[in-house]
Amino acid sequence: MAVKWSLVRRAVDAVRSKWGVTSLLLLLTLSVSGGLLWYQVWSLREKKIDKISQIPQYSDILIKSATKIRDWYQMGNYQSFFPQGQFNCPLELSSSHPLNLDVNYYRCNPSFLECVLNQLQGIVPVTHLEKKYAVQVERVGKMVQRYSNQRRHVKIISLSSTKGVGLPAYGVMLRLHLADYSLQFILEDSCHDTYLPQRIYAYSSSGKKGKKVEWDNFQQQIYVDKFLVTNRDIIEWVDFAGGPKELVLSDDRDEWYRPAIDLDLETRQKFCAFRGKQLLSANIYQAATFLPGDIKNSRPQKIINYPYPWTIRKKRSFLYRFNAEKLNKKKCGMSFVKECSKLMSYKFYSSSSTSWVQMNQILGGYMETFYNPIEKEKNLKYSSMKLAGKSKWHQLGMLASMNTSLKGVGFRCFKYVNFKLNL
Amino acid sequence: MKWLSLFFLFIGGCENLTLEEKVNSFSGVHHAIFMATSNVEILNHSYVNSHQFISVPVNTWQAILKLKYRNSQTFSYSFACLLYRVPAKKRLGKLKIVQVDSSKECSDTLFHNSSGDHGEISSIKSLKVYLTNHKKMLLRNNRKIPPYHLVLLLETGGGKFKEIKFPLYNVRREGNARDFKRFASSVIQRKIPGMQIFSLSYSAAKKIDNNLVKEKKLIPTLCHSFDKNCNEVQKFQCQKCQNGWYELAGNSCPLANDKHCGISNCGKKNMPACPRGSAYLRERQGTIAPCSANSPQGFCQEDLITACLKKRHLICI
Repeated sequence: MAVKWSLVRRAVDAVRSKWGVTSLLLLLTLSVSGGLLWYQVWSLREKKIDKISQIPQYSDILIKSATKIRDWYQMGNYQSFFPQGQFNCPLELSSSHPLNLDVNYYRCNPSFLECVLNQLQGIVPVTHLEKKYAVQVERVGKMVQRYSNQRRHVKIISLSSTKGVGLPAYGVMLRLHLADYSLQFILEDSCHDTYLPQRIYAYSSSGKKGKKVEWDNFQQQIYVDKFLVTNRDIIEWVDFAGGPKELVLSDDRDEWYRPAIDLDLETRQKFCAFRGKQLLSANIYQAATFLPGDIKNSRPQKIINYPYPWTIRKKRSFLYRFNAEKLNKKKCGMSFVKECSKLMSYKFYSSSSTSWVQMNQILGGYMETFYNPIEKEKNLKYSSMKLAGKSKWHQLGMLASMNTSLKGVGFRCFKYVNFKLNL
Repeated sequence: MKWLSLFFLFIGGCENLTLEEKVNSFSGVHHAIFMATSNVEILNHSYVNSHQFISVPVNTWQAILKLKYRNSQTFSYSFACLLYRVPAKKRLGKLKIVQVDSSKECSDTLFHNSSGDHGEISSIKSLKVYLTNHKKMLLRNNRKIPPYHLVLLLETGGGKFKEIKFPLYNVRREGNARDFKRFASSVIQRKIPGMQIFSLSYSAAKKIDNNLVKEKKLIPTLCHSFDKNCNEVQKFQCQKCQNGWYELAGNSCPLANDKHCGISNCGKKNMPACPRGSAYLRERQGTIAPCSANSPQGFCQEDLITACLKKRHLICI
């Protein structure tokens, strides 16, 4: 019996010592794995804090890049990207800078920005706190075959196409990347419209009776387009923003910077609507072009509409008793009439034929159509490069009628904005 | 079990951040919100841009600012509140930012938990809040707060201060956000004019909310309107019109025309009359005529006259 008991005791001791070793081993394993886990958690936490702390710094760099892109967009200075006439944007703009095109065309022009970003291979070099960074521009735009078989860097956005809330009616969206951070932003068009000051205006009827309709915009904020709508604007609308696909559009890039002159009235209205605007009306056209006698007095008792946009003394204008022999390039810049083609070629997107509010392309050049809320038939600025300088049509307020086709006639838009912004 | 709890307690304790880390984390975590903020509402003016630290009422949560910012995922607007627990003698102050539903006020969130350690700063002895718009602010000690910034100045003990600066890229200029003057473009004035920031760390583009003014094809839709006493009955929503907007003549309110979404055909037969302008009417006619037949408040194409529709809007007939 005693032998039996000692055997049992030995067995129990053996088990006890085994358990002791096991628990010791367990404790050791737990401590090591706990230590490792603690180290992991600690380093993860460190990384997390580091990453979070770096956000403001990366944000600064990305904002710097975005601002750089905004400057390129607004300034349209092609010479800084293509020195010594090496302009090369065959798919977006042209294979060389056309001599008959003013550089105004490149300002706030998404095609120009896309061209620049392609030239830079989608990399924006930025220096921040003496360190150099290469910020990458993602291709977020749509791929359209006529430009490239890749997606574009710029994405055209508009209220009617993206159905956005509080977004500008028309703009360009871009996305930048640096390390793990990305920044998405919108560039607004700050180049193509100009404010119509609040004052009392008079619409001049172009009939012989010379009836005037007075109105004012003291309770309205109106911005008018500075330039005629171009073929590029229309093509962009069709390619990227839901414009009518059935429009026949030229692929010739040298046509793109020319005014869009072959659209029907409905398409013109729809284009303006896509930009959140209206087709320019005749009374607003006149308000933006007739030079006020006294700009400082917004409530004149008597309103005189002078026939030339740059002087109140009509006899001083070269168009008054026009003399072709005295014509020069400067005068042709102000109003490109038929005789000017012997001296120079017409300059597209030029700002030399400008009004008192800086609305351009106002006399001579291309014919332009309006919506006329007063004299419904008078919907055409007939003054154009097709008419000789002595033509009576080279005067403001002289509006003609064009009832059927609008072929060969340009247009522009205007928009209202609200006093308050409660977006 | 006892060992395991002790272990996690130890790990959890390690998660406590130093004050320096808390300030950096707070700044980093909320940076994106401030970048996308388009509107900052001051909830208590005595707490903002004051030379005094926020010191009363002690030991209570106070709502200081309400932020409206664009959610980078949905493109719709979200709201957040900057809250501060004013320090008491034996309890230091705490600062946090909490998200709030658009229908709720910041005061409803005072006792909500924030997103965690990274989203808040505790151990604050005192706090000053500076908010600037388009002008910089010069403080008494000649320090400058740059334009379009929110600056939080925290006293962290021992006379030491920490400053947290949030640039506000999307906040519009006070007063007229656009330049209403000759030669000006329609671009909205912000910290960087012509540029609207969405957010940092934006990853996948989501479908943008379709929250436009519902435009019926044939019937023009009002996007801003006033009652007969010229009180605003429908807030200005015309920025959401898909095809531009225009003003209507006839409601006899100075500076308050009703507005429609859509393409304007004003002046045409059976269409709205074009507004002639209130200053013209007041100064030339001596009064703004009520909406009535032949009213000069609007003008029409030749051979048409104005008529009043539903005592509100002039149309051309």
